[in-house]
Amino acid sequence: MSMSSPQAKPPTAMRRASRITSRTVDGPERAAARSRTALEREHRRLSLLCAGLKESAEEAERAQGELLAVLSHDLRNPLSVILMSTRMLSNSNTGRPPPLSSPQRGAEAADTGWEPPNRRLIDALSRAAEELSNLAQDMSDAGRLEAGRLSVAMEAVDVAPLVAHAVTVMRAHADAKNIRLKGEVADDVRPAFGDRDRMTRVLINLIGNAIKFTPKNGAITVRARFNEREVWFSVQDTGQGISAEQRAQLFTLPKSTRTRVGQGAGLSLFVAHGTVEAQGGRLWVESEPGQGSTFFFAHPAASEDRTL
Amino acid sequence: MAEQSSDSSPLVLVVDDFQDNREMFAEFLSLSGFRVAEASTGREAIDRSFELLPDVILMDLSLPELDGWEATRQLKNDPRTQHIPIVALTGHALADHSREAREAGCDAFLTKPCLPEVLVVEIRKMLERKPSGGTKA
Repeated sequence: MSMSSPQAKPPTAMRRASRITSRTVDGPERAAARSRTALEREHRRLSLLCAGLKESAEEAERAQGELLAVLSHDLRNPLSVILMSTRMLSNSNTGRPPPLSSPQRGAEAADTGWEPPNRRLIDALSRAAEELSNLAQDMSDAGRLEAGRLSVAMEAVDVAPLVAHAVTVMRAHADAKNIRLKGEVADDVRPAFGDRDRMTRVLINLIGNAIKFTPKNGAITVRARFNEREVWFSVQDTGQGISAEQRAQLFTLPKSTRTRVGQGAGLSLFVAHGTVEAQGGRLWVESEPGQGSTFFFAHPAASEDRTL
Repeated sequence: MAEQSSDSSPLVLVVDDFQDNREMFAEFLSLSGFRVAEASTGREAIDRSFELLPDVILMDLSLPELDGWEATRQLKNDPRTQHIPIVALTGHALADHSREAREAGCDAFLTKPCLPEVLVVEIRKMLERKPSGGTKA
C-alpha cells in the first residue's frame, strides 16, 4: 500500500523532537511551560473554589431544611391545641354533661352547664389561631429578609400612640399571666422616622417575647425616649435573663432543631432585627441571667425637613 | 362514655411546656376517666415522677432546660421509676427522632398534632402492658 502508516513518520524526526523537549530550552518553549503550570494552578484553585461553593450550597440547603423543620415544629403545638379543642367542643355538643364530681368544675357546672369548658376551649382556640397567623407572618417576613426584599414605607411616626396601641393589643396576654404591663413615653420624645406598621409589629413582637419569658406576676415596661438624634424604644422584663452565649445567637435564624436557645427561640427576633435594620434602625439587647432583659431599638428622629 | 375518675383511676403525668396543650391533654384525659398531674419542664417531670409514681408519663420531648430525652433517660435509669411507661410526644416528624426516643427508653412515640382518641388508646395500651398489681387503690 502506498498509504502512509503512523510509522511512516521518520522515527528519527520523532526522536529529534523528543530530544528537543527533554532539554531545557530558552524562549517560547519555556514561556509555554510556565503558562501551562500557571494554568494548572488556576485550574486547581478553581476546582477547590467550586468544591467550596458546592459545600456552601449544600449547607444552605440543609439550613433551609432545618429552618422548615423548626417552623414545622412550631406550627404543631398550636395545631394540636386547635385539633383537641375542636374534638372536645364537638364531643360536648353531643349532649354529654361534664362529670359533676370533677374538682375543676366547681359550682359553675350546676348553674351554667356547658359554659366553663367551652369558654376555655374557645379562648385556647383563639390564642392558637393568633399564634399561627403570627408565625405565618414571621415566616413570610423572614423569607423576604433573606432575599433582601423586605419593603418599608417610611414616614414620621408619632411615638406615644404607637406605644399605647402596642400595650393595648398585648394587655390581655399580659393579664393572663398576671404580668403588669405599662408604657412610659418621655415628654420630650420626637416623632420617629420609620414604617409605622412595621414598628408596631416589632414592638408587639418584643412585648410578646417578654411575656413568654417572664414568669407569672412579673412586670414589663415599654419605654420611648428621645436620645440625641434618635428615638429609643425599649421593652424591659423581669424574666430569666439571657446569657452571653445565647445573646450571640439571638437575632439569627435558628440553625438547628436541637440547639434552640430559650428567649428568642423561633423566628420572631430574627424578623424584628431585620425589620428594624431595613428601616435604618438598630435593635439590641441588654441582659444577664437572673436579671431580666431589656430589648432596645432605635430609629432616627424624623427631621423637620422631611415631609410628613 | 364519660367515665368517672376515682381514686383508683390510673394516674397520668402530662409533661409539656406549651400550656394550652398541657391543659388540654389534662382535660381530655380527665374526661376519659384518668387522674392527671402536670409538669412543664424536664426537671419538674422528674421531681413529680418520684413524688407521685404515676402509672403512665406523657412526655413532650422538646422541653426547656432539661429536655424530654434526658428526663426520660434519667427516669428509666432510676429503679424507683424505671417501670413507668413513657409515651413520647413531639412536634418532630423525622424518623430519626422516633429511633432516638426508643433508644432513650420511651415505650411509645406519637407526633403532634395527635388525635386525642389516639392518645387515650396508646395510654390504655401502656397500662395493659404493666404487670398486674398496679398502684394503690
